[in-house]
Order: sequence, then structure tokens, then C-alpha cells
Amino acid sequence: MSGAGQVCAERRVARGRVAPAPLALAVIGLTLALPVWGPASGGPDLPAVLAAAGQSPQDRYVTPRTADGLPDLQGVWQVMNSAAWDVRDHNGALGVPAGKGVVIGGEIPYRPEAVPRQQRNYRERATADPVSSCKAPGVPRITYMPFPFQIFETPEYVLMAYEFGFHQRFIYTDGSAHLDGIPIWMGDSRGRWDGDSLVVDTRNFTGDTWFDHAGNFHSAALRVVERFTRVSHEHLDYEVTIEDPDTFTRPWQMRMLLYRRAEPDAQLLEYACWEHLMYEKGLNGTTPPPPFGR
Amino acid sequence: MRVRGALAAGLAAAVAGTLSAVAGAQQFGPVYPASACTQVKDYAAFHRCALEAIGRFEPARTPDGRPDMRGLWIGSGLAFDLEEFTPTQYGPEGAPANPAGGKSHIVDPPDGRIPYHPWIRDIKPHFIDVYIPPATGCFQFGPQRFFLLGQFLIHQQKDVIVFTTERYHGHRIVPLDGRPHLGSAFALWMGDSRGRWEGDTLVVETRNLNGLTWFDQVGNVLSANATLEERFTFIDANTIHHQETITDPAAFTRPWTIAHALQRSALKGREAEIWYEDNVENCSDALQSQFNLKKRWWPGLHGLAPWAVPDRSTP
Repeated sequence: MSGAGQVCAERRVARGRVAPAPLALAVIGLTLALPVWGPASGGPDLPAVLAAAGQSPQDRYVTPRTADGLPDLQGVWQVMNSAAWDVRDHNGALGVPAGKGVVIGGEIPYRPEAVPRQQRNYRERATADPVSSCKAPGVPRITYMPFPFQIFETPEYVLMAYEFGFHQRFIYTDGSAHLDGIPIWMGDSRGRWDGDSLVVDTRNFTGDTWFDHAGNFHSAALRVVERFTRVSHEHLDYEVTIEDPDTFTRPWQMRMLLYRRAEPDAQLLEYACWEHLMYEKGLNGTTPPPPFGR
Repeated sequence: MRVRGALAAGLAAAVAGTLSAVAGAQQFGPVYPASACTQVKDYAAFHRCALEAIGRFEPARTPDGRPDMRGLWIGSGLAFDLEEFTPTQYGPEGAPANPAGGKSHIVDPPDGRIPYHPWIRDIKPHFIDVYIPPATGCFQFGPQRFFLLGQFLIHQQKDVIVFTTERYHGHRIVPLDGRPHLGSAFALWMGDSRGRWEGDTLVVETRNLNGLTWFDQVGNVLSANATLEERFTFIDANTIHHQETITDPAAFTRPWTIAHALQRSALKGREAEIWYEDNVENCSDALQSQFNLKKRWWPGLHGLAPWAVPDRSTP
């Protein structure tokens, strides 16, 4: 497995190309729909989320069931935030929409020795971000990339298919244990149903992925626990717990809403990141001779 | 699933920049043997047998009454060369990157040859000398090649079928709800697929291709105008007859059809799991060797010189 840095250091992708339109909406959506959201308040509480979704806590949303009797989270979903650029509070910049942070409490508890690496990552993010060279975004970043993804459920697994880079996750819910130490770019996801929530425990990461474009990073010791809960017909509450004792002094959490792509003709299209990169930039900046006729 | 890095490495073993052997089905673990039509490597014979067997087998059904195709399957194709080829056609016999020959996957026309327009047939042998096989670039294979190699999982629901593969983690989401195709401006690596049931046969129509993918490793191509019709029919409990008809007047003189068996994997439990597999993350070395040979990206038939595509407007 080639280290991300080795390849990435010489590549560059213009961030502004990555779907700006949904992100413009994202900022508006956050501002209008979720006035109480934000690290300053210690992260959103569920009543506030429900209120934002047009439900009162007394009139709790009843999660529909699939034909197999599972909580029905199926559909096409997408964030309306800019966490993929920075999971913390951040100002707008060229090609980067401003955004309120999704980290509960606001701060990522880096160990002191990890802080310089995060700062270096930030300075060199244009090339050092693994996603800049179309590597897998990893988990949880794939969830809040500004692209839609689709959830499919069976009693044995939950399949999440992503528009970004054709990625997919098979989340086995059959009680099986994690693989024994095989590192996987997107981790090894094992899930269970907890009431109306899908809880996914993902391990076996490579340590080569980042949480965002701002250089927030982790080691291969990363363990991610995600909780997907449908809080209205149109919203999933997405809560993530991050554990990585090699990088952080304590576990920490992120929380955000996922929005249903409610257009009747919603479908995943393609963002062929690697193919675009190779055709337009080539490998390590050495574009092959142009095709005939161009 | 134990393909792991061998996948990228296998396709990448594009030695000396010529060809690379694509892993044979045996790499993907055991399958349940075919019982109705056993000649799965003689594609024409299998096809003739399957057409007679269709309708005689009563498949297991999903709760909504459709043939139950859920599970892990392995394509019996080789997809090194879609047409018949000999063990020495692409290099010395027994060379690691040179598969041992194979029969044509093409069942119509009966001669097993792709009915290219003559100008494409004339220049096709040079494609592998000039262009990087798209799969060697770790690009998506395209829907026309999806079932020809590797193993894949069929996820089946009443209103949607998802074909998904560990290989380059590609997926094809096929709505069955009758929605219309995308507009013609979309040109996609995996195309835009729509499915329907005709009795017990799943029919999938695909268009909106981008013309940048190949059928195999030796430069068999189609244009961005191509449309595919795939038909999936059980012929025994563990074998699906898969046939694919390509219609593409810009590239071919007539529609043509390939056919082969999809065989149910006998892997169980953990061995049958689809793991996320790195691929583009691993692709750099193989690509660098292609670049060192001054090879180019395949520009598509539409990217060749203007004379190369005489009639792109043909519907």
C-alpha cells in the first residue's frame, strides 16, 4: 500500500471544482434550519434537531420499517455542511464555504505531540490531503463529502454506495467479528441495530486518511463508532465517536444532520475522481502524451 | 474475499507495457458446478444449451415473487480478449502475462468476431501499442465488462437491483421502477442503467456511456453512443445465463451479442464477504511503467481524428 504522502506530495487538485453548488446550499441550510447548532452550545441536542425537522419531542417521529422489519433508513442522503473542508468552525476562503463546526465541544483533543503534524498537514493540505490525489476519504469523511450516497438494507448487511469515487461500504450486521488486523482504506465496518438506530463500529484503518481538508488526522489505531438515526422523513441524525489513543487524549464526537435527496428522480451520478485526475493531470504531474485529435 | 492486492497487481502486470493477464475465475474461490449446461468456457456452446434450458427451471423466489438472484456470483468470462485467441497470439506461450488462449465470447454474429466497421478493425491491433488499457489505469471497467471478470454481489430489492464488485469497488445501481433514463448530456463510466422483469428474465438497458472503457485488455472498444441490453435468466439453481447485446452504429455494422455463465460462489461466511479494497490507492507503479513507454490515455473513438467517427449522430 503506497503511503499517501509519497504520492500526494506532488499532486494538486483544484478544490473549487468539487461541487460548489450543493455547498452554497449547505451553508444556507445550516443557517436557516439549525439555529441552535454549534459547538458553543455543546453540540445539538435531539429536541432541537427534531424541532428543526418540524417535529416536537412529544410527537416523536416513528421510524418506518422495511419489508424485513428493519428501521428504514434507505434512500439517497447528503450533508448540507462544509465539514469535508474543516470539521471545526471555519471562515470562508477561495473555494471553501464557511461553516460551523460539527465537533461537539468545538475542540479536537490532540495529544501535544500530534499538534505539529496537524499544523503541517494544514499548511500542505493542497497536495498532502489524500483526497487531493483521489485516495479513499475513509470513514467518517466519506459520509460528509459534499456528494450524495445511497443506503440499502438487508438483514445481513447494510450497503452504502457513494457518488464520490464509486466508493461503497458493506456493513455486516450479522454479528460477525472484525477482521483480524487487515488494514483497509475504508476500514472494516460491522454494524448492529440498536432500537431505531444503526450503530456501525469501524476499525482496521490504514492511518493514511484524514477527517477533512484542513489536515485533521488520525493513526491506524483509529476506531470509529457511527450512529445513524432517522429523526424525520427527511433527516438522519448522524453521530460519530472517534477513538484513537495514539493521536487524541480522549474520545471525541461529531454530530450533524444528513438530508434526504427528496427529488423524485434523485439518483447517484458519478464523481470519477481518479479518472478525472489521471486524464487531466496524469500521475505525479507527468501527464502522458495527449490523445490523438486533441 | 481473498483477491486483495492481487487484483491491482494482476491487471497491472502489464509487462513491457503490452498485456496483462486478468485473473481467471479460479482465483475467486469455488463455485457450485453448472448442471444444466456444463460447457461454461465454450461460450457459444453454453449459449445454445442455455437458450434451450431457459424456461425449464423454476428458480427460488424473493418475497415479491421474482427469481432470487441475491448473493455472490462469479463471471465465467476471461475478458482478456473478447474474441477467440491462441496461446501464442500475444506473446510466447507460457509467459506469465499471457493467458492460455480462449474461445470467443461472441455468440452473434456466428463467426464470433466483433462486427467493427472496417476502419476500426484495421487500426484496432495498434491500440495496445499506443494506449493504456483503461483497467490498467485502475479506471472503472464500464458496464459492458462488469460481469466478464471477477466476483460480484447482487443486491436485489423490489424496486432496485445493485450490482457491486470488490474489484475497483465499482457498483451499478439499476432502478426497476420505470423511471426514464438520464438526459443525453450525461457520459458516465458505468453508464445509466434501467431494469425490468420480462417474466423470469431480468432485462437491463444501459446507455449514457462515455466510450472510454474497453471490453478487455487488447483494445476491443465501443463508442459513447453504444447502448447495451443485458438479459439475466436462471438455467439451474446456481447458474444464470447472462447475455449482452451491444448496439452502436458508430462502431459496429450491426448489433452483436456476448453470452456466458454467472456461477454462484460456494464461498460461505467470512470468505464470501465483500471487503472494501484499495485500488487506485495502489495503482501508481503499474501506471508509471505505461507512461515510461509513452503510452496515452484511450481517447475514445470520438477522440480519435475526426475521420475516425464518420457518423456520431446516428441514433
